[in-house]
Amino acid sequence: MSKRKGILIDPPSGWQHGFPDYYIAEEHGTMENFLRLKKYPEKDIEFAMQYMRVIGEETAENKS
Amino acid sequence: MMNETIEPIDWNGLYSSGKDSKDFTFDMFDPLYVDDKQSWTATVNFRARYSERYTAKKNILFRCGMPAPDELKPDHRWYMAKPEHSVKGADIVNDKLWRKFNRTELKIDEAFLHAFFNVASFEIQSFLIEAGWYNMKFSMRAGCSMCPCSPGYNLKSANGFIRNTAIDVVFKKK
Repeated sequence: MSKRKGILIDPPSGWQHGFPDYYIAEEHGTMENFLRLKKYPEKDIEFAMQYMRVIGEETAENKS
Repeated sequence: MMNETIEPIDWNGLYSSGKDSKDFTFDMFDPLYVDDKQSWTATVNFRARYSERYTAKKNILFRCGMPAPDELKPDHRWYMAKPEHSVKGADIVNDKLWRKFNRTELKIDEAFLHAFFNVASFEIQSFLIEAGWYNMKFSMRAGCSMCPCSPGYNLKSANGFIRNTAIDVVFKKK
């Protein structure tokens, strides 16, 4: 199983939308896209982009 | 009299430096009844803290994923609506409300961390106690002394055997 670099992120109220989760730039595109993909409320995305908790760069398992 | 043999703990299996460190995941109950499912996971990772600059020889516990006081159920005793945003010092009453809100956040942290500790394996519990679990103190500038970018808990180890370790605990709702 190969591993890819990802950033573990946790936006405000993220636990309600399946966060913390790995953001992988090659797979998800922009960070905003990733939040939309996880069904994070559209009105909170701008706020989340400023006050997101970034836990650090880690390796995420590639299941494909 | 029966002699009990205690297996030595494999510290190296838990603590490997660099980016090859392992994650340990445990299922746990929601200690605060945030929602009806009540099932969460706690993932813990131990890694060596290293820097080219001088760093204090302390262990730091970082945590994330817990709900805020305004996200608890409204009938919960720790529920609190988020105060209005204001400049610190401009409104004394609102500042007091923010201090209460922040203290409640720490209570929620503590409840989740204790729930995690109770379900963790013996090796993880031993490591945490050795690292200073019982001498835990919150610091807004735990990871970086210059700015509040990395709040966490400073752990003061009793004998200093385990030191300069970052302990990441990530809580996630199932």
